[in-house]
Amino acid sequence: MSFISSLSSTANSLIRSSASKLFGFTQKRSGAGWTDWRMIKDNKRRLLVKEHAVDRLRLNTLRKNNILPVELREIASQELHNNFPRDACLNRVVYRCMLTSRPRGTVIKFRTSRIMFRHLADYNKLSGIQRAMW
Amino acid sequence: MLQVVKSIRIYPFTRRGVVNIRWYSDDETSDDERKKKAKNEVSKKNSDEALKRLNALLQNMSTTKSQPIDMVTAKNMRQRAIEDKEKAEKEATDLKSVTQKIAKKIGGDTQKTEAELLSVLLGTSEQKPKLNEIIGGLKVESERPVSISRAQMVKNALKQHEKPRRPRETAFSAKPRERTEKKGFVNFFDATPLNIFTQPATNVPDSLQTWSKLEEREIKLAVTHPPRNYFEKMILWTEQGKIWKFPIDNEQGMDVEKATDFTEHVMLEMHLEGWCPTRGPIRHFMELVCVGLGKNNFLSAQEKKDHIMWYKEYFESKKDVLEELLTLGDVVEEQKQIES
Repeated sequence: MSFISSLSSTANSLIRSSASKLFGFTQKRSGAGWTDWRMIKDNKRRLLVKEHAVDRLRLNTLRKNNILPVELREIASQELHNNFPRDACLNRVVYRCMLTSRPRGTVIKFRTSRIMFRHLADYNKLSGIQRAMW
Repeated sequence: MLQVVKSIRIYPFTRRGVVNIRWYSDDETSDDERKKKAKNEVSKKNSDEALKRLNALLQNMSTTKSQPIDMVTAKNMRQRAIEDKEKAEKEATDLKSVTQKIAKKIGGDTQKTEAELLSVLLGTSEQKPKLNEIIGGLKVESERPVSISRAQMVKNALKQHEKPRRPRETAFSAKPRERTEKKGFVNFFDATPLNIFTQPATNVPDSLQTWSKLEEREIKLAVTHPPRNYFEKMILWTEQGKIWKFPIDNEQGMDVEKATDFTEHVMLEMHLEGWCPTRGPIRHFMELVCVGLGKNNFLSAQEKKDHIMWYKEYFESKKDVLEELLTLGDVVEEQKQIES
């Protein structure tokens, strides 16, 4: 987490905050707001994931075991399917670049795409990151 | 009778050698004189006519009253306005003049109408003509508009906005201001009370807290001073818990966790007491849950308890289904045993 905290702290606070639903667009590579709508939708999904995470986990434990009777497991799976929005699922969340909103080629630890990672690393903005040489 | 020789002409080189002599008698005037006379006559005629015209003009002028030109000045206008106002007031208050005016406006027998009006107003008539009729028939006398210049109006407006100038307070000029005499002000405490509201008002707390919160904030800010230097800033942050305290304690801020015993984290079977069956799949399941939670480093004791309680509620909601299943299961188990 210390790597990420070395980057723009405002971006972090926006991603972590669950209450604030800001829809202020910014230029790409600023990290102070939302770069595009895809980023906003991803943020919405993350909030839903957080909201329903605990209940989903508990229901999943009921499903993913061979001790409880089958019928109960089936009931649990039905409940999981019906009682929760689709976006509450963690699979639907995309680890986009927080600066450019790039969905692919992201370095998850730094929450940036490979291009931005390279750019920041070259300008010595990433703590502890150095050009590999051996 | 002298014969006046008017002119002599001599023609020496003619045959005649005539001497032309023109004779004029005394009675007859000479040419020049005649011309002059004629001129005079003509001029006399002209002058006569002119005189007549002038006289006529003068007469005309004298008939129209020539007023002196009043230069319009502020003072003048103010005086005029005052005079006009006074005049109007006088006229309005003066009964006679008013009645006269009214009578004139009505027309007809002015004296009679006057007399009637006066009698009615003073209440001394025998006939007592109906007041309503008279008033109904009367025309409304419009107030004479006081003509104020635009400059004057502006001045008046500015004066209104001016603060009332009080005479400078000296040692001897202290006068108690009488509130009752102020214009446009109502004194609430002069009249006798109605005794409607006898109980003093109780402070009902506002449902909207923003104002009170902001007031509190303001008071706080007034009392507290912002940090003078970076040291004070750091002190503030450490007190708030944003910065590590020295000596560094890895468990800084985890006071609630420090207070909880390890038994509450690991020995969670105590929460199964009361509701969980002693044998069967559910018990098996819940024991596994407890083991798993016991190994969890990241949840607090309270969170673990909540986890188990959730399962309790869930099973209680599915009680009827479970009963069916479990009895069937028991039957199946019995059958298996029998077969074996």
